[in-house]
Amino acid sequence: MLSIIKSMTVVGITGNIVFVQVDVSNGLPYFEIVGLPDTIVREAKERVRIAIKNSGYDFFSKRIVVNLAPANIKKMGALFDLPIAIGILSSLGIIKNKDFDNYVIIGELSLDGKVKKVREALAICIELRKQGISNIIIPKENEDEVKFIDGINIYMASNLKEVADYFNGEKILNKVKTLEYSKVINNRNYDMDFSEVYGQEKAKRALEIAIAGGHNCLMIGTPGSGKTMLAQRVKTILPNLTLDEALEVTKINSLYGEENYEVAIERPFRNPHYTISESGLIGGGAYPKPGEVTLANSGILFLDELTEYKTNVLEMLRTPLEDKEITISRVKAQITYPTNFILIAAMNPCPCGYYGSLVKKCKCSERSRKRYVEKISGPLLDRFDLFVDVTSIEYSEFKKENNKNLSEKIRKKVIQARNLQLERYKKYNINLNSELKNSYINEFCALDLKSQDLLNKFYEKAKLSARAYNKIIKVARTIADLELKEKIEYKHIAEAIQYRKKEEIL
Amino acid sequence: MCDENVDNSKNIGRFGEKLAEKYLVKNNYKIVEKNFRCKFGEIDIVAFYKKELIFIEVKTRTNNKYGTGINSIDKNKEKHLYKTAEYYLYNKKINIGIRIDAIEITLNKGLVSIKHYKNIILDKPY
Repeated sequence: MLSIIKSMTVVGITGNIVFVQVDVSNGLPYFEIVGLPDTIVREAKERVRIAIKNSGYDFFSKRIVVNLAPANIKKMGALFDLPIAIGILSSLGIIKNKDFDNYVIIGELSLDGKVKKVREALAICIELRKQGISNIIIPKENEDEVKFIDGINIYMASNLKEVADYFNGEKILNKVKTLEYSKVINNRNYDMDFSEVYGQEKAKRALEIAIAGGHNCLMIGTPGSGKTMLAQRVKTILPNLTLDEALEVTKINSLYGEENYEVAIERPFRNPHYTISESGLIGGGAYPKPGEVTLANSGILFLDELTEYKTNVLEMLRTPLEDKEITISRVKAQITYPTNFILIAAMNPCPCGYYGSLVKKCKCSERSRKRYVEKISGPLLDRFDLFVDVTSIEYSEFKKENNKNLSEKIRKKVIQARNLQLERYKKYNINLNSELKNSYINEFCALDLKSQDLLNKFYEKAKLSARAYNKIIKVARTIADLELKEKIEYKHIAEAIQYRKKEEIL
Repeated sequence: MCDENVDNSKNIGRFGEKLAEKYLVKNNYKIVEKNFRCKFGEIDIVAFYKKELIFIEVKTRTNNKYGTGINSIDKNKEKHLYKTAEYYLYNKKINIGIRIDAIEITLNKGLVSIKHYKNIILDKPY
């Protein structure tokens, strides 16, 4: 007799429904699993047979064929043990209820019939939440990590017999109690604050704009002026993750190979060292794993000492920055990962670091300075929205009264500005000003004549690219949003242009 | 000398098979066939019990110096049993539940012990 159980396998970060079809018929004892199983799935044979025996069911010697459909997707992991066992019990007539349509079942079996933890539980629950399948049975040991998943019924099973009894209507499986995500993450305290950085008001403002509108920011400045400190404190002004974002972040982290993971509560802040390789940054491997650009998804990618990175590695950033996703093609798989991050980079203006400084004289020759900054190509520079000088500060800045909890103030402004954008772009499937398509710019970023005139003059003078031109408008939009203004004004455009003045250095 | 030994073990084997038969009948098994032979091998007893057809391999031992009877059923023997059973089913066009069992008989100074192992093969052994 045939029974069909739904389960799921995870390829990259997308889950695919797998139909576990079990047929039991008379004949010489035989047990085969087909449908592109990997070694772990094939070994399920022994686990399932012995787990069924040790759960107190009659020994069976039948012809059992298990097919995992669709046949073309590679099935990985031990999570198919439980659905196969349930399928067999149903085909043998031990489970009378044959209606498994609304259930997805996952779980590894141990020989004594207990259901063991599986690595993919969270990723699968997230996927189901998207696909709208209402019930899932997961191992009880996975309870903690799925507690934030809302919208689906998650049942927990600790052994095979419980699940069989559940389908026979003899027992009730406990549901996972869902916690509200936003309540859990609201009270976070950082041990750093923007007020710890002396001076650098312009840089702080630039970072505020960058985070508010999702713009990429390049800080250029003398050694020790606080570039790295500033970037690290960006964490403290990031808005909270929404549940959807958190689930995606968690899913990606789990792929990266963290064994015991929980739902992320902080936006990612990735700070790879400049010795990083191409596949480290972009992702790679025979079976492509996510790289730093994907791990930084919905967070920050901070590249300190930008000029020290290998040029070919940096150039790889071009497409992920523009497309917000990257497709990695290797022999075994072709996987598309999201790369929706804000790029924040820091560099010195020249080898000695003091070019343009008011405090110390630069010792570099013009040629060596040129060669230093030329490491970063035009196309990559063109993708930054904000350029900001971070130079040495006056002594008086140390004496200034420090504004405590500066981060919290900035963060509030950022959240306000972001909410404004969310509201405005609700219908367009975008969240931030930086994601605005060119066609929408006229609609949302209308300029008055005076600002237009200013922008046109700057465009001519600085020989901007069309992309840079649009970026200025988008930054101006964010500045206006930070002031809660509906229209972009002259001063907003003027400020946005300020962040584009890089010609004297680069 | 050598022939005597072979004859002797054949007799022990046959004796064991008779004991197994008696044991099965006593336990309400219906004997269908004895010593079914084909080019794949031999099955000692084919019996019928509770809607299932059971293929039984009988192993008789007078001592356990060289391992018990059940130990001597190795992968190769399983293969022969399975193939013979397959051939039997194909020949007789039978479609019911199947089991492959082993009965181990130990003869020791007039004492007889019978052990019945059920379901010794659960998967295709090759």
